[in-house]
Order: sequence, then C-alpha cells, then structure tokens
Amino acid sequence: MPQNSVLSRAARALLLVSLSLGFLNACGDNGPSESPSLSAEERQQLEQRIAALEADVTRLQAQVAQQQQDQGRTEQENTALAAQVETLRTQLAEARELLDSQDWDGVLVRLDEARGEVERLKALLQTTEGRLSLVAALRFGDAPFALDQPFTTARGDTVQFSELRYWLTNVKLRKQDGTTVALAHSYHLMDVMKAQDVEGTASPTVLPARRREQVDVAAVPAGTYTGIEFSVGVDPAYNDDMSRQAGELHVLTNMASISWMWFTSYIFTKTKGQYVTADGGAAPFAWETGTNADYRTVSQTFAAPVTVHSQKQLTVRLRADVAALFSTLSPRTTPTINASDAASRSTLSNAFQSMFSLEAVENPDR
Amino acid sequence: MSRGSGSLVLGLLWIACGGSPGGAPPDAPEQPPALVLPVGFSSLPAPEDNPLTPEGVALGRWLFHSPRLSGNGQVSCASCHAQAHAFSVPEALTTRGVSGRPLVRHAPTLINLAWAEGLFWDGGARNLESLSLAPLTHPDEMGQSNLAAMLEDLAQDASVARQFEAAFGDGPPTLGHLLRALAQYQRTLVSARSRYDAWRRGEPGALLTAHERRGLDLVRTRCTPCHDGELFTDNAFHNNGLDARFGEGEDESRGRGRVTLREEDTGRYKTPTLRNVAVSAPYMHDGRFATLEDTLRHYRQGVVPSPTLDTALLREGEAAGIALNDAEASAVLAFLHTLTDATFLSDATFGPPPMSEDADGPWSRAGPDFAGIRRLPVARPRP
Repeated sequence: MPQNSVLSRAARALLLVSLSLGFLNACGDNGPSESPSLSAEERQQLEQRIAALEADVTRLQAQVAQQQQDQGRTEQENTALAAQVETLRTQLAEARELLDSQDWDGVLVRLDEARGEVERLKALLQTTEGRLSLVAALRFGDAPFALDQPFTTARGDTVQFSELRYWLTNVKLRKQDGTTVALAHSYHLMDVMKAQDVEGTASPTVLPARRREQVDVAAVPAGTYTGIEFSVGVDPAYNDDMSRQAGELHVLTNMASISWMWFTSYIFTKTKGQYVTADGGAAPFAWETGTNADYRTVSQTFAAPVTVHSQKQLTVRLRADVAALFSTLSPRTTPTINASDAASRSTLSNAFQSMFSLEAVENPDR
Repeated sequence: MSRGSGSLVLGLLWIACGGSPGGAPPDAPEQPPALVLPVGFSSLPAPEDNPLTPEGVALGRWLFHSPRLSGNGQVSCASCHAQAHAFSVPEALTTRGVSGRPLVRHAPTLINLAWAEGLFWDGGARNLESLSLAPLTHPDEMGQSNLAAMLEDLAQDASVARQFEAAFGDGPPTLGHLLRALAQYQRTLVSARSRYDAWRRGEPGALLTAHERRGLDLVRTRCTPCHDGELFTDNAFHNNGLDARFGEGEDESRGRGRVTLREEDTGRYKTPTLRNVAVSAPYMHDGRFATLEDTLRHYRQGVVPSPTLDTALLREGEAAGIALNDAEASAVLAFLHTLTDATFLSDATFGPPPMSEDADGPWSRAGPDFAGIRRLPVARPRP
C-alpha cells in the first residue's frame, strides 16, 4: 500500500468509519487529523471493531478452507484466496499495534483497508460455487419406508420390500429466466438394500447394505434459482454406450445384467419384495425398468427463489412416496416387470416420476 | 416382384479411396498391407469419445485374442470369431464357449462393423463400445463372472497396464477402456480387398468374368434392398421367411422383436453382409443352411409365409421368394465367390499379436497398419 497517500486516506477513512459506526461524536469539531486522544469508550469501540473484523476473517477463512475441500476451485484460485486472507490478518495485526501506540489515524487507515478487503473477498465468494444437498426421503404414504415391514397399498395389497433402488441423475437447477444449469457428474445410485453379492461374481464380492436418500453436490454454480430438475434412469448418451463412465455409473452395481445388456441399457429402477396372495401366502414380486423409453424427468418449483454461492447452503427436501408405485400396478396381477414388458415398465416409470413431492427448501447462510 | 429397383450403375463410380497404398514411415520394419476402404468410403467412423489410435487398436487386438478375459482363462473373443472364417466359426451353434454348451445363434462375422449400427443378430447391442460386455459375461460364451477380478488381473501385469496407459492415459485399466479398445480394434476389421473390390476400383488386371458380372447384376436387382450397397447389407432387420412361428417374451426366436418389443419386428434378423460369404458358412442366424447352395434354394423355393415376412419377398400370384433359374443361381454363386477377401482372412495384423519378450509388452509394436489409420481423414463422429 502506497505510503504517500496515507494522510489523505486517513482523513477519508476516519470520516467513513465515524459516519458508519458513529462512535466519534466530536469528530466534526476536532477534524480528522486532530485526534490526540480518545476516550476509553472510543478506544474500546475501535478494539471491538478490530475484533469484529477478525471474526469476519476467521469465518471467511473457514469458508475458503471448506471450498478447498469441495474441490470447486483450481490450485491457483486457492492460493490467491489464501493470500487474501493472509493480507487481512496482517492488516488487522497492524491495526492492533497502532492502537497500542495510540496512532489513531493509522488504526483507521488499516481498518478501512481491512474492511475493503473483507468486502472484496465476500463479493468474490458470492460469485463462487456453493453446495446443494438433495434429500429424497423415502416414505410409504404417511409411514417411514423400511424393508421387511408390511405396507398396504391403495389397491388393497399387502407388500413388504427387500430392495428398492433407482438412478437419480442429471440434477439441474432452474434459473429465473427458465434456463437450467446442469450439475456435473450427476449420476447417483439411490437405494435401500441389504448386503448382496454382486450378480454373477464367482468370488464373494459383496455390495454392502445401504440406505442412500441424499445427494450432496459441491461446486454448484452461484446464482438465483427457482426450481430443480432431475431424472430417474440414465440418459441415452450414457445408456447407449456402456463404455462411458460418469459419476457413480458402473455396470458392477447389480443395476445392469446380462438380460438388460441385450437391450444396451442399465436397470433404471429395481423394486423387489413379497406380497400376500389371495390364499394368505406370500409370493415374490420383482419390478425393473430400463431402456431409453423409461427415462423420466422430475421438475419441482420452489416456493421462493433461492440463492446459491459459497456462503449459503441449499438443501432441497423431497418426499419420495413408494406408495405411488402401487397406485395402478399390483404385484398380484403383475408380479414381474422386466425388459420384455414395455407397457408395465412405462406405467411403473410414470409412477416413479410422480412419487416425488417438494417438502421443504432450506437456504441458510453458512 | 414388388421391390425397389436395385442400382445398376456399375463400374462407373471409381472413387478414390482414403486408404490407398501410400508410403509407410521410412523406419517401419516392414510395410503392412495398407488399410483399404470400400469404394465410396473415405473414413472409418468412430464416436467422438473413442477415436481410433494406434495404441488403442493395438490394445484391442491383444484383448481380442487374450483368453485371460474369460472365466476359465481358455476362451478369447477369437475363439468364436476366427479370422480364417471371416471372424465366425464353421459350426452352426458353437460349443467353443467356457461351458461347452451350444450357443443359441451362429457366431456372427465381424466385417466392416465401423459402418454397422445395432449389433448381434437382433441388434441388441447399440454400438461396438457396448457390444463386448454380453459375450464377455455370458455363461456359455466367455463366462467372465468376475469383471472386477479380471481388471485387477490385467492391472497386475505391468506390461498390460502400460498398454492401457499408452492408449487411454494414466490410471489402472477400467472396464470402459477395455470396451473402447476392443471397439477400436473391431472398427479396423475392414474388408475391401476382394477380387470384386479390385475390379470395382479399376485396378490393372482386375477382372470379373462375364458369368460373375451377370451374377453381380442379379445380386443388385434380386438381392436388394437387403444386400445393398458396397457393404452388401442394409444393416437393417428382415424376416426372410425361415419360419412360420416365433417365440414370445424373451425367447430368442422372437428375433429383433425381442429387443424392440414390437410385433412387426417378430422374426426379423440383421442382414449379414455378403462379403466373404463363401468362407463364413453355415448361414442364417442359427446356421441352419450348411452351404450357399442350400441358402439360395431357400430363397428360390423355401420361403415360409408369416405375418412379418418381408414384403420384398412377396410376389404377385406366386409363392413368396426370389425368382432365380438354375443359370442365374449359378451366376450369383460365381459372383459371391469374388467377394472373398483373402487378404482380410489372412492379414497378420488382424491376428494374434506376436509374443515378444521385450519390456515393451506381450505384443509386438508391429501391429495393424498404424500408418494407414493415421493417413485416414478425420472421421466424422457418429450423430
């Protein structure tokens, strides 16, 4: 910082700080360059101001560190941000030293510089990527969804589940002008399942038991958004070419199988369990969807626009009602849905599309 | 016959092909046969995210011939796709797979697949990148039931891992890269050096006899629109009157219908190319006809009506089929033999890579015609 401008800057700074903070009651009388002594109260206010800025810097530093973990930045950007935070720390340390030596002008200059620096950093962080948590909480009507627990469908069937899995892909946020921003690597496998062998593996390769109802996305472009879109299934570009890999897409997840490879498709959704037969016994049902025809997109509009940047958290809470899958289909009449049953697959895919509703959108500061 | 008229414009379009013999690099130890494309084709198409590279093709060639990919370590892709048989096998329903059980269909030839869409007899595989997964894992084919372990095994072999890195960059071998390398190699399996091709290009001394010319004219009129164009296939699916009844659901005899689930596709199968047809017996999706004579007999008098029978085979006031008298059938047979591409069937650069003890890897650097591939104009990505 150039020393030759210190005096004029000191004057400006004093004016600015006193106006904005209103703690130098007598400043109009004394003039900016004449502040030989401050009352204890005024000195305390200056100290508080430094402390407040230090707290600001600590918070910003934590955000910068968090962003480094999110990997939304390049190495260069990270270094630049860290340097900016370091400059701030130096300025505030200098302000404390000047306070001790009763150089009020010097304190005010440093505080002015630090405030400017903090605002620039905040502005920068507000243009940089934020995070999104998309929660699709599984329910069965009003009850929480769980495996091995009987549920009654709208059509009067009693069903219990051993497995429910689906691909949630291509998450996009909708902007006010109606365009969408696609999030990268957006292929997520959602499931409630017990431990199971990877199909076809000779040696015991096991997929662990898992309940996955949440997608966390770092590096969401900053902006104001009015809605969210995502798809159930895998888009044709990736579904048609099994050599393409993105996000969690992989054929070794039991969401692809030999029978579906003949159609060149991932299994988009799997719904398996048992139902109670007419004579009171139990029989298995297994429903699968897949092929490009079964790809469905879900769109939800927020009640109010939300803001995404590195200083905000966006959490979208969806309710995924499994009961919706049984509104037109019954395991009694259709115990098996697979690649060769296009009509039932289409009905089931529509049901998956309709099972999501928006419960809450949270957009707090981080 | 109510069919579209076939092209009779022959010997007129002498279009220079992209892979015409050119100079190999001066330091090349030997000049492999240049990659020659069929007349009218100037590039090998490839998807944007899997362009042909010498390293990728070399890796694919090694993978294609490696039994390490199979469940029992004894079956490679080449086991059922033998070069001498135009990358097919001489038995109808082969038992060469890991289980020794006969397959449901005749192993298809691998010829000019760069221009094919919808692979397998029913088109179930959309592209070469997705093709290999099914035979790799099918319990009666290569029976690889542990893809993760297979990849781990490949990663453990330093020379193999190096070849993966050479082809696809740093990192351990992935299933996606394995599929892409196999696809690259299979795209190079171009057959365009038959006697017919030489004559078509007007090469000095390349002649077809009058009898063969007559056969070609007949193929262009009677065997189109299915065996059309320089690829001698429309790459589409037809019911050519083999059976009166077909299966339902997941029954393989449903043909193309098993994949599209449409009634009109029941009993339809992919049109195979006529290229190298004389060496790729037996014929049809299930290899039911042992000889070309049997096959022609089917078209002349064996076509069975069914609801999805191709309209190209319907004839006014006559039984369905193709009209060919004995002399015409003889000419057609004579012509079909001119489509045999001896170079394609014996080209060592398509075959197993020679074993090498040097540190470079288990296969020699002198592989397929890398220079030829490099000389090709940039391929347009598939839409």
